[in-house]
Amino acid sequence: MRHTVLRRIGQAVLTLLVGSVLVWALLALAPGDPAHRVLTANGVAHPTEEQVRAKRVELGLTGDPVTRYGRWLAGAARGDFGTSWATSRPVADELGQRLPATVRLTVVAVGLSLAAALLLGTVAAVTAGRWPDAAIRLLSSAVLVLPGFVVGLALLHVVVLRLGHFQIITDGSWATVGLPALTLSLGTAAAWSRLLRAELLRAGGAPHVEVATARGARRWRLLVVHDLPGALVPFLTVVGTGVAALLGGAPIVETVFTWPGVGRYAVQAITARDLPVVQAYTLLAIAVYVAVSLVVDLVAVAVDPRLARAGAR
Amino acid sequence: MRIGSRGRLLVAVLGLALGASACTGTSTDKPVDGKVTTLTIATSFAVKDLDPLESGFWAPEFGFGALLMKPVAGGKLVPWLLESAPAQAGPTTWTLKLRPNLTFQNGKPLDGAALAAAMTFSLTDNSSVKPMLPGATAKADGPLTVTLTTAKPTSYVPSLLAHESMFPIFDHAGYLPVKGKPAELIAARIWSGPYTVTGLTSEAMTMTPTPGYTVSTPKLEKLTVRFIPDAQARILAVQHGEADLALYPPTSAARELQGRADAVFLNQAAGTAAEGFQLVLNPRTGPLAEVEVRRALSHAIDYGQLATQVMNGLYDTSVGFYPAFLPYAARNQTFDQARANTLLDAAGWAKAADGTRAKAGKPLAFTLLTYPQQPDSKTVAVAVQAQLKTVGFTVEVRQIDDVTATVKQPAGWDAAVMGNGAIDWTQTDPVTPIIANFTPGGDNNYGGVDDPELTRLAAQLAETFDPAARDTLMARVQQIVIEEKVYSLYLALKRVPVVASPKLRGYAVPPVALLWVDAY
Repeated sequence: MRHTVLRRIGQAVLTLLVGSVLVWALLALAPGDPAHRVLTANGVAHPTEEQVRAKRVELGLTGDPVTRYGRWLAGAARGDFGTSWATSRPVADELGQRLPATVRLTVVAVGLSLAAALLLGTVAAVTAGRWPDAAIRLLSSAVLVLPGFVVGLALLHVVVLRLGHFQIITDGSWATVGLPALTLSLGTAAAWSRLLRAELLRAGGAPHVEVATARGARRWRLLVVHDLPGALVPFLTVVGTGVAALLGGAPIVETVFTWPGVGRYAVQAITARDLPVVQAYTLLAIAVYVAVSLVVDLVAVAVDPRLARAGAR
Repeated sequence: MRIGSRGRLLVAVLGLALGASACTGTSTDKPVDGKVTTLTIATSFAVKDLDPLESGFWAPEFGFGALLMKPVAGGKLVPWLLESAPAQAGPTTWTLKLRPNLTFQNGKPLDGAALAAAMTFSLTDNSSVKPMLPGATAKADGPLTVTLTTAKPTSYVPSLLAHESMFPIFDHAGYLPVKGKPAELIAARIWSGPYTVTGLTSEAMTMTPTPGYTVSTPKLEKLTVRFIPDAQARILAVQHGEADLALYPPTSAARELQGRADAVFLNQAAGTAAEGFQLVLNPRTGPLAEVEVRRALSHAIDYGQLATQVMNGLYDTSVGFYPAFLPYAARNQTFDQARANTLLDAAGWAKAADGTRAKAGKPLAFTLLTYPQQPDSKTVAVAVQAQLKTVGFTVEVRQIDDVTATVKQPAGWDAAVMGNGAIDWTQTDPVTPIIANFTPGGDNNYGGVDDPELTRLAAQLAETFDPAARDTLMARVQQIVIEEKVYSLYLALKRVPVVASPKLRGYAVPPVALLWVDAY
């Protein structure tokens, strides 16, 4: 067990390191001189060579690539991602200011996704082959094929403009999180509910469940005591990676709903080619994904120790 | 000077507001449902702080800063913080006299000494001013008087005093201790405009009327500027009543909003557009290095069709380097397909059976760049591609992310459709765009134009104060740029659009970048 945990942590660290190299290369391989871009972005229309040289030193752009990467990585480990080319403010401050809004959005979206997935997945499994099951599967398929921005815009037009509920301009507060979170959660809820249904049906066919059924166990007891625990491990894995994916999907929803989070900030940074911000956001997304995957794997091992043994082999 | 830049924002917002003011004299200058006392603007650019150097251009746009002179319709300037227009005491000396009893928002007097300090800061620290007025000085020589001395005669000084990016008027002494501290900058109230900023976040800026502002009476009780990058969200905010004006709407919004009661697409009156799409040429390599090819190209483009049919009348037809409404504008950019064919035939570009042309085995072909930040640039480029095909040009339209970075390179590109304007922000200075576009080292001289006659004319224009003499020189410049050498062309001029709420549906967007806080 201990060996499995250490191995998984080692894999996570390695993934992060590889990711960091790729993210750092974004800036290193970008065309043009970053120092020049920062100066012109700050109103110095025609910077002198001396100004450009000084800015290169300030931005840590001098030295060989390995040294520069090491310096950047050390800074990133301390939460120092450099200075935004667009605003001249520390990237960490800019992200930190917006992170609470994104966390708020993600938390609510995960909550909504889980609630919807548990409800719809369970109902679909219990009514497998009948009309509720068919309706749920049809609905989830429809949601899955629609891009998030289409769903978001449709909700804005129907729910806000036509029905007069919620707001167009959101401010990152709990009071305005509803519609963006609903939009963000729809896709994951659909995917998770379909998976849960399939896993519940698979678990329902296990020999021990058949024995329990033969002994006269009630339907809901079968579901809660036997089927759900059997479906839990694969469901947890998908939910975990889905949570990380929600963070990755937030830019579109945040932009559509003017949600003042890091996702919208990342979109603005991409538009403005503010590479330090893009780097920081990408690294943050990778870190969240790796961390969540690690936690999910460890929880899965705790829930089903056979996974540790399988991993050891 | 790109159309997608802050300048367009200014034109859109300020222009609209000016149209809203009673001064416009239009029949549609009043809100349909009475007096408007609060206003919320949804815009795409965020004001990051109130620093005069970094964010000073926002001050006149959103009303927290005033300028010495104010640009008004018809290419004119009127005094704003100055009591009268700057007076020339000599070829290089300008006397600036302030209105009496002016104060900054913090209550300190805005007198000669304070004005000299603010202007000196711009002359020494503002990279936009330095190349325009090298070696100039500003000295207080009276309680309300400042003398601006330039190193050489400079005809465009009054325009610079009205330009949003040149001389922001703020309390320099109050600024120094809070420089680099955004929150303290707000609290220091160093600005001079009719509205005082009371809050600024990454999402919005709020303003209230400045107590004791003596130049005029601010009409709005509350003014909010929301920063919303997504164009669709800005329009939806207006439709839902969360904003009154949405800036930078895409042209397609005109069609989408047709017949709707919750928002209206407005744009400035036909024939008044000053900015649009410039066809930037690279005459260093390829077929465009031949002046006869460039001349044929200029005659092969149907400028009227671009504005009225391709862009559905939301653009004005371009007739030359300058917009047609300017008195010195030459109408020398003409569509003449037969002339284009004749020029190409004479230059040895033979037409093949498939309609394409070639000379010495080389096709008459070039690549035309567009960029996604201006979706209309591609629409215009595709239309130009089709028009040029009829005389034998083969044009490949390619969209790239950073068109400015590409055209700054001497090689690797042929032509680009870029948002720009041939007249300065105030629409009163035709000279600095010539310097920028067609003299060595000019900011927008992407084609590397190094024409001795143009360079000499630009220098002469900068020192010519007599309007008649200036117009004579300008006529020659336009002849060279458009007819003889064809260094650049304007394809179509965009009538600045905004989306307004129903209560503002009657407003006309005015033609010049004015200060919208004058409205109401």
